[in-house]
Amino acid sequence: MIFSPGVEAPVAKLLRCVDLWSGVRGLSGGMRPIRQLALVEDKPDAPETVVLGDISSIFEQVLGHPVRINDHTDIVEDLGMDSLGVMNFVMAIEDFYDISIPLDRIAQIQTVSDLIHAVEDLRSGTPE
Amino acid sequence: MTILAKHAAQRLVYDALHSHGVDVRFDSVLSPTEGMLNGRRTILLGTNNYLGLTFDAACIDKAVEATRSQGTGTTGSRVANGTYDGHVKLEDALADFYGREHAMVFSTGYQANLGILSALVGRGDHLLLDADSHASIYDGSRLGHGEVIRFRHNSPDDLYKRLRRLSGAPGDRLIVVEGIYSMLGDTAPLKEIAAVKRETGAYLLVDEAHSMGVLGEKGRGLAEAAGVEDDVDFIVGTFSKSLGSVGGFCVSNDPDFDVMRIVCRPYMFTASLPPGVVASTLEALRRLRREPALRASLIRNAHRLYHGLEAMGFQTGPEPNPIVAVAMPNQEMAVAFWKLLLESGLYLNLAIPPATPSDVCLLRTSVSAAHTTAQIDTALAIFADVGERLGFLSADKRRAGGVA
Repeated sequence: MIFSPGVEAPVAKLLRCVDLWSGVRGLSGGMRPIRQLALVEDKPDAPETVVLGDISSIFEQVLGHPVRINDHTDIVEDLGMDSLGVMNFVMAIEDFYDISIPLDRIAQIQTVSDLIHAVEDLRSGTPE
Repeated sequence: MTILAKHAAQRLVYDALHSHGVDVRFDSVLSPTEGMLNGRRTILLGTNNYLGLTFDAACIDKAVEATRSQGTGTTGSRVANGTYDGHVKLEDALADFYGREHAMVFSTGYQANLGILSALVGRGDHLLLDADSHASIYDGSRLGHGEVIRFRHNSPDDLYKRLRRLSGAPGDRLIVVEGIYSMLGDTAPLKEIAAVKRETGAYLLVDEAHSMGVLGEKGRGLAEAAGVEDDVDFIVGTFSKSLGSVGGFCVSNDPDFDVMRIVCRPYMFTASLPPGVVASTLEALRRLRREPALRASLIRNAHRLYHGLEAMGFQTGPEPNPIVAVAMPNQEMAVAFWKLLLESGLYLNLAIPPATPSDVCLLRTSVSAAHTTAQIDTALAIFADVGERLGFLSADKRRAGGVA
């Protein structure tokens, strides 16, 4: 049997955090404080809202069905994405915003708000 | 709750696979192509033993001779007491084979990638990896503190786009690709990748682990076959496939190459290869160079298996290389198919996600120059039989030319 991948996530669906390297942060590890961002309903004109809307439609393209997301949405847990889905989703986000999200940044992203911050940082050229 | 409770999910997978009996232990290995498994003589079609040199009489003699005269191990690092005449001779032979100035030998192929990638790419540098890279490349990328970016598998366009996004940023760029990818047996579009490299001023490293001794007129791998050896700054490879032993290496013309001997931690902080392994590897490299017939039989066998499986209606990888992967519709079918093959006397690799690209389940075969035509035909007959028993090769599917 072969079980030695570059992207090690033995049971992709049990992955809670988007960790394309080890996957082993799985069930108990990898949790981090969730930064609070405005929800779509609360601040329709805030710049985050625009990003959230774009991200939502990219999710829908990748998953092939409508999704309801907010800043707290856990990308793997709440949207039922497996490791391949996450990889495709990250690539689609990268294309849309014309950025590359380095692997160590991807590993830190768990929620939609984490993703928004990463995209904003990378677009503005802020390293961390 | 133990300290390993964090791996509960993986534990479930491990237990499930164990209960399916997919963890194999050979009772004995009889030749490069046959072993005893559960008391049954079994054809080995999943070994990476591309040139079939593991039982080569000359290689064994050299290993025995070196072991008798120099002992079973060096008990030390290359940078301390672990460098013998054989290690230097092997490095010289590899540099000569690749036509490069410098070579470095590591104790495993895994460590070669770990050591080289972490030494080449430091903080502030950029490492661009094919998304389907081997675990050793991903792990090496973490050891070096550089910024790691994946590009779409075998897509020079995506690679170019990502290098363009980096324009203006300080730091070196290193592109890493593999000669043959170990799951589907597909090769990298190296000519196009080399063009991207030239245009963007990046460095290029090719891991020829599965392509050394397999591709190229002289067996130097994909860089040779694609005619772009001058564009490849670093070649990494292994002794545990075509050369039938264990160990890894890197060759290059970089004038500062030798500094890596004191900055590659996976080179320094491990024992060097035992004299017997070094001696058999040197002999295997000589055989690879002197006997192009070995490569010719390998390619003949690969084509026979690939086209045979394809003609039956199995969905195979994109190219007829010595790794021939057969796609299965799901994990249950993959496991059932694999077990029946084994019960019929055919061993190959069961590859399941996440080891595989695109979450596909594969029956992964690898042929050897040492397989006889009769063995390849027997393997094909077993595939046909199991395919029919499982209702996998229906007439409709055969006509459609695919099973997915």
